[in-house]
Amino acid sequence: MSQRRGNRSTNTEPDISELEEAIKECVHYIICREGSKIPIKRSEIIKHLNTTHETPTSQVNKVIIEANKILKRVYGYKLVQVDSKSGMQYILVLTEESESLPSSVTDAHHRKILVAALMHIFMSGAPVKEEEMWKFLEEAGLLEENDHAGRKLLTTTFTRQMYLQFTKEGEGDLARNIFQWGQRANEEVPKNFLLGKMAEAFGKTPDHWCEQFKEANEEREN
Amino acid sequence: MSRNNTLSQSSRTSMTGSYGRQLRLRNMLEEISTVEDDASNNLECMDQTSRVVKEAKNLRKEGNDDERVRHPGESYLDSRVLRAASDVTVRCAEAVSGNINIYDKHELARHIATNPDFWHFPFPLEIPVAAHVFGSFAPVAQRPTRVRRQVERQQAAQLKEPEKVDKLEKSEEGSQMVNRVNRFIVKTYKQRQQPLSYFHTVLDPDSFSKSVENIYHVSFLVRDGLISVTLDDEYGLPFITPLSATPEQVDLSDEKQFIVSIDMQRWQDLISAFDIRKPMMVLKNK
Repeated sequence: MSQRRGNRSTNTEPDISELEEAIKECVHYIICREGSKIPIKRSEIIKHLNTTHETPTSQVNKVIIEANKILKRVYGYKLVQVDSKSGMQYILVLTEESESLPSSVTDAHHRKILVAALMHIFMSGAPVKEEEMWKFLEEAGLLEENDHAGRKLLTTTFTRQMYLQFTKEGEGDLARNIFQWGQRANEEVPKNFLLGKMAEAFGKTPDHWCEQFKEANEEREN
Repeated sequence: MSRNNTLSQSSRTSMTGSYGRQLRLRNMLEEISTVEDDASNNLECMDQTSRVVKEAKNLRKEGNDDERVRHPGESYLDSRVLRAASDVTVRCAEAVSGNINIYDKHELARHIATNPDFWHFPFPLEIPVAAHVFGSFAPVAQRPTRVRRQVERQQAAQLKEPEKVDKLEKSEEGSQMVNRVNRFIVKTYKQRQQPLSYFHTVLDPDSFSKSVENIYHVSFLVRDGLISVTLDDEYGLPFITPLSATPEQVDLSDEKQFIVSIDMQRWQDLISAFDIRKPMMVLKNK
């Protein structure tokens, strides 16, 4: 947005048409990159546009804004900026809730583990300790005992995808690793949806778990 | 509950003093760090924590300030227990509010285990992953996984370990030398029928270190009572006489000790003084 010239408003129209190809490319790039679910770095978009369409870095912001408009209008997606230590990053989510078909590329077993982990954290109402998470997943028949490769799925993959947050808490001997919801989970998974699943599974109404019910409602109101 | 009993039992046993208390504090620390995993719900977790804190408090009453000053480790452990307890409390408090959380993780886990497919669904705001947009739309090149070159590693050389020093053998070697020296002295004494001049016997004009070794070996023989070194009345010089007597018969009260000191200078002086040209004691080395 670092427009220094005062003639910006008069230039807007021709700029857009000039950038049209770059915008399309940007949309493609974002959709494809989203497949991995690993947040897209702004620097990666800049690099990609620089090489494919020689888009100057100063124009990239404009391109991303326009691309976001297309994503929204055509696909019903929106870019969400996520927290990160290394520059600006984006994830892509739907603008409104919808029932999509299970993706053919997502590993079903991985998805079950993710659902179970998110559900467990949400229902616990507090961060879940690493060891407790392993025990829970083992009990749920999703992860074998001491399946370290399987654990990596949570500590690395889901964490990178920002479904989970895996952090250290405390110091010294008392330090322990805890799981929390990541930013993507907060964006993609409404809590009342999860609670609905719980209710369906156990034949109750969502307000059976009043604490979680309250939290889910608070989220919806915001 | 069984855990509960063992702990209170151990505190009743007569483990007194700072060490005993430190041991028990360590046990408490251990217990408190596992309490969250073991307790089935928040309430039980809190109960156990408060019991441990109470126990730590009682333990503190047992010792006095003087002892605590001498054993700072005790106070340190005490504070650690308190710290751990407060951490547990914070986590419990986070999970509790006015209402009771009736979520039963075991129930959920069982449900997942029995109906895994129920728990497989896309998220409402999750975009369906676009595997193929417009047919075979090549996704942006994923970084090719670099194939790791197999590094031919040299087989690690056999670990070198220091030769096992067989002390026994070494000492035998030493005593063998001493024996040989003894045999030499006895033999020479028998041949000459007179005491051997100490310096002639031990000094080797060609080697200082050999001389030192000889002195060393002879000293063992003296200690074992196999030979005696006496000062000659006529010259005031030391002479060696083998003792045929068995060690028991040696009168210990009569024993005198002497110290031999030698250095390069003295060695050379002695050799020239006694005009020693070649070593008298030639021991064959095996």
